[in-house]
Amino acid sequence: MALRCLIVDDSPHFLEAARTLLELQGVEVVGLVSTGDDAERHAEELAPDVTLVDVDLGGESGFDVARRLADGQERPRSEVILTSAYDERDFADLIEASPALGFVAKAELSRRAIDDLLSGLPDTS
Amino acid sequence: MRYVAGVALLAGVYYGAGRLSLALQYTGPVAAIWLPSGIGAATLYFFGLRWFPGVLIGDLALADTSQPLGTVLGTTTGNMVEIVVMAVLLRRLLGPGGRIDRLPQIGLMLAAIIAGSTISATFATLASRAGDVIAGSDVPEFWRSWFLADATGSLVVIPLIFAWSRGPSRVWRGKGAVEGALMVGSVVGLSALALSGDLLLTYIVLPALIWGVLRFGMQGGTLAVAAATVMTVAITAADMGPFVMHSITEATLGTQLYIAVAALSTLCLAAIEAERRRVGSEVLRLADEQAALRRVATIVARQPTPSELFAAVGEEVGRVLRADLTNVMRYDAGDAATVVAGWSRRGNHVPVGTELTLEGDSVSALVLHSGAAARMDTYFDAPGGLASQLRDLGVRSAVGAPILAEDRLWGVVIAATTRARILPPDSETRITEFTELVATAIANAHSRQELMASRARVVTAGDEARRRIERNLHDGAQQRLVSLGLQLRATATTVPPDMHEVADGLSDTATGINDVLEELREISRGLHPAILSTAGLARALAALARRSAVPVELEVTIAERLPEPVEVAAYFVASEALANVAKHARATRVRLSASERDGIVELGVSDDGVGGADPQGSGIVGLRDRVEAMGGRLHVTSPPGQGTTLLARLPAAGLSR
Repeated sequence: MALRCLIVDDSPHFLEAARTLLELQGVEVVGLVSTGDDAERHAEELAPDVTLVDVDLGGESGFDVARRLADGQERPRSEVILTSAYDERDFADLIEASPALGFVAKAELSRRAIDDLLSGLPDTS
Repeated sequence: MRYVAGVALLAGVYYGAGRLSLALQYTGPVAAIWLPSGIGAATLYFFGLRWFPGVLIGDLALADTSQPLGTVLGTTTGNMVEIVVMAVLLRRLLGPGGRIDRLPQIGLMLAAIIAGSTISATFATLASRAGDVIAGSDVPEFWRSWFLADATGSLVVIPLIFAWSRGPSRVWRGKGAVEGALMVGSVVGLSALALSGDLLLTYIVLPALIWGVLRFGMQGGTLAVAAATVMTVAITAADMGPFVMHSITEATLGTQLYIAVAALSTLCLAAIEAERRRVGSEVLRLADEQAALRRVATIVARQPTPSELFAAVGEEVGRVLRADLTNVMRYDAGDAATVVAGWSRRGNHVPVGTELTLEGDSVSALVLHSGAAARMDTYFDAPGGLASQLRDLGVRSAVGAPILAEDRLWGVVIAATTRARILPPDSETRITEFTELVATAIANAHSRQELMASRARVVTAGDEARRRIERNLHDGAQQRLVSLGLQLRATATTVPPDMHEVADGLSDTATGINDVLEELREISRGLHPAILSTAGLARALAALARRSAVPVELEVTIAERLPEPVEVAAYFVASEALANVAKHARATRVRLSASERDGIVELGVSDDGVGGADPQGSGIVGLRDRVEAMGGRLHVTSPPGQGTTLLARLPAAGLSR
């Protein structure tokens, strides 16, 4: 079964580009949303295997959204992975403190990077 | 009863003086020096015309009963009119107080004496001629002798009484009494010497008279003249000395003119001396006042705290005006004021911080309502709580001048006295010189505040613009480039395997885009670090420490968010300082600390490098500008070989969060 993925980002360009890339790489992108509320609702309905959350959602903090997603989960665990156009080092503390599984820089996004995090391998990026 | 006693006393003194004059009389119809007129005139001048019966009784008692009754009555009438006219004229011309320490006053007194003596001499001459006491040919000499006797006597007696009417001055105390006795003794001695032979040596008395004036003022001068007069008349009456001549009238004339000239010269000298002393003390006072003003101006230039300035002004005004207490007050809304400084000779001023309602009468209320300087010459029965509070402090009168800062009535400086004497009429002007300095200081402080605020606004606006540019870069160009890179990689995966050159080219391009993105991130971070607005100063400093080339020991105790301008300033100070450490310090480690206490953020950066940083170098000047723009202070110590320590203090309170 294909990896099911929800993408949360406030940039429509990124949503489209990420979906195209991931689907070409065999990921089933089940939803594209741009707010924390939509993310919560879709995560509940669609139960994706993994949710990609931008750390900076315009007015909202992606870290808060990641926390809400993690708190709301009752059913089998859906992992949250944070993304950003910023450098990982800029947010290292916050990423460390968040319930998210890890961080993938937007420019480095790929099926492989997601799989690596899911399988607990160290980030090679 | 008191009146009768007073009249009797006056009559007695008048009679005594007359007897003394007659005792010193040369053989002849007219006394050389007639003292009673001056005594009578001075008494009526000080105590009023209602005492004239004393003069009348004394004069009648002195009358020469061998003369016809008409002559006696005419002569007495002349003396009475003379004395009344002199008293009235002196009162009119000199006012009350008997002050003759200015040259014009000497002239006016002389005019009154001449007028009185003319009347008396004319009456006496006419009465004597009518009673056939003198022959017709004697009339001119009789009139002249009589006139000069009265005028000279008055010229000796009236200034003596006037000068001593307020009691002996301080110069006579202690050693002054000894010197005074020596001075009078030398007048007596020199007079005796001068009059012991037939040579006209009377001028040798003059140095002693001058001594009296220069050392003891008008009191010394009049006393010396009195002593010289008594000596001259007594010795001449004893038929000795140069004034003893062929005829009695010539002797009289010589004595009279000598005494008149000596008295008048001494009086003029004393007036000039008094003037000189007044000018001298005025110069001292002005120098004192200028020194006080300069001290206050120096404080103003030093950008003092308000309380420091007000306290200094209160004290200087009090000292310069010789007041007993002073207050500096700020007017509040409505008829209210707050005491911002107080000073008093005995430490019993209204306490600083006291809030007053300006109901009733007070100088502060008068200044508030008129906007100009004002005075109250008495607080006795002035209505209102403030007035009664001031009465409780012993205040009797006060003067105040407004502090007009930038065309606004800001407050008032008040000087008050607890003594009976009111503050001099120029006090308003003199306080105003101080209030103008206070106004300047207030205006300066205001301008400085405006400047500080505008400087902070400029810096904050700059920071705000950088933050906006960073956001636009992130949301626009960076996101587009990221998306383009992903698209390229997506496209690369669709390229058939036999066209791997194309796939490789696309991958290379995607890598190039990533390089551009990395550069953009670097620029963004320099513009405004995203983490600062996202997570606050502590996290941002932690991120900064992680990226530093020199290992950073981090000690940040600020947990909560601070106003954004403060966070931005602190962040950039830390960022610049770490960059400087990496560039110049050759340090192995650096310590970065940040804490907040009592609304002040303290940021410290210290390294173990080579030190010797130039405090005027562009790096440190730039940091200082940034810190001071936010109202903070930057301290840098960088002794060669001992590393560099930089400490920035930024006020975090009072700024909007």
